Amino acid sequence: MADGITVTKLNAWFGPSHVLHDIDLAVAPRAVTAIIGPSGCGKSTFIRCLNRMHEVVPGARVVGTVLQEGQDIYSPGVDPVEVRRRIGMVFQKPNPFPTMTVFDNVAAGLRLGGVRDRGVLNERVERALHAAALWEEVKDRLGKPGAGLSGGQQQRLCIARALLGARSDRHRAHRGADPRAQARSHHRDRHAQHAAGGAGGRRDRVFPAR
Amino acid sequence: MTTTRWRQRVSSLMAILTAAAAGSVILPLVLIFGFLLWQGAAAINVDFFTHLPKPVGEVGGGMANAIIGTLILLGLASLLGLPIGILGGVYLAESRDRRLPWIVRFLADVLNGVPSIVIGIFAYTLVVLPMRRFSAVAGGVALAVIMLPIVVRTTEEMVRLVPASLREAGLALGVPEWKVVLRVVLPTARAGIVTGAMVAVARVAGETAPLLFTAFGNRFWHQGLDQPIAALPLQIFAYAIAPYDDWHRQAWAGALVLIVLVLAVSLMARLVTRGRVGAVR
Repeated sequence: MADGITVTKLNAWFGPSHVLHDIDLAVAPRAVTAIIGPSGCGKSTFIRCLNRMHEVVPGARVVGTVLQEGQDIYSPGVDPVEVRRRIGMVFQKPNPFPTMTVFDNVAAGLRLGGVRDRGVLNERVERALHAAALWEEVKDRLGKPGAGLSGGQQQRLCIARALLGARSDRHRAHRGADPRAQARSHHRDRHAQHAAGGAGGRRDRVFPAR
Repeated sequence: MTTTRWRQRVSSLMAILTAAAAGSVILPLVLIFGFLLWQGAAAINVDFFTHLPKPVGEVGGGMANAIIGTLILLGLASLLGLPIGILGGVYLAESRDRRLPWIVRFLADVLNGVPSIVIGIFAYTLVVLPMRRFSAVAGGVALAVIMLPIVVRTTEEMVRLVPASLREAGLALGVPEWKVVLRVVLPTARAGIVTGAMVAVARVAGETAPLLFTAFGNRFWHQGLDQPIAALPLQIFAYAIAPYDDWHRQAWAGALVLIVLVLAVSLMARLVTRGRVGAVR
């Protein structure tokens, strides 16, 4: 279980209303896990607890443990920003940044994480767009506003964006030379493609950001 | 059938009524502008924009010093008022705290309602008395104080208009909150914030009362920020109450220039807000 996500006794509140009750769940590594249920049952809330996005809502609260790579992301010393760098997220509704182009949307995580190198950005963005099965459709309009794409394309744009989190590029810059790391990113790309296949549907997705 | 005819009639009647109401909004401006053109256009010539006022009794001269003075005062007011107003507005919109934003918001609205002459007295007490002279800086402070509540409130509203989903998208990328605000939220709200700033500038451009005992006015060129400085509204006021026909004509011309200046600023605000990549819906 060291590599997957293990959720134990997870409880979540929105203000006074208790919405998640003692959730236990093990998410296997290198597999697609789907969470289904009637609308309003807490699927999104649960997923938002996996990368500490639940607490962003004013008045929201979480209690429980979420082990990710052996570490509880809710233990006191953990920086939520750091967690979100490792665990990306695609929301139910497409939410591309309206002031940014297609390219800038995908590159946003890297740029805001401090990556300036044009070559690195170009290569990563192209790879992420391939992974989200969007490259062929947007390669000639990378400089156009991201919000100008169709709904489904916007959602795949958000998937591509989620694949490139704001993680500092220091150690990732060498990833390319490391065959094991390459295999891992390849794996993640396949997950993304999987998810992108059903991009017409409305659901939240959690990704390990690369 | 008859009901359809009836509905169509009511519909066109309402269309006419609302159009008439909309038309009457622009009517005063059109009348003012027409009247100013009629009265003031004759006194506008190259001298008006390039020359100092002539001494009493001599015909001719211009208001170049007042035009430049107004621009300097607006620059000073913007320099002081815009950064504070915009930062304050961001705080009001982003803060999780409830009490301080509530108090600031309420007091900003009160400040917005304070008569501008009272703000002039405030700047007089705060700047003119300690400096022991009227000055451009004092005028700038007075105008900045008038701008503040407008800028704070519009900035806050514009930042609030940015959908929470964009903020979340940024946070979910693992970007720290301050960076999300700086690089995602503010750029998205930029057009609105700039419009608010321009509206504030246009609003204070014509203020006269707060300048009476701060900038004071000056019949000569700008002599430093710590010296009294000319301003169009002041010059218009002084000329309008003087007993000379030539000065009256120049006052009209000054008013025309002032309104064109305000128009230009407003137009700039419109242009800035247009054509931005996907403005906030």
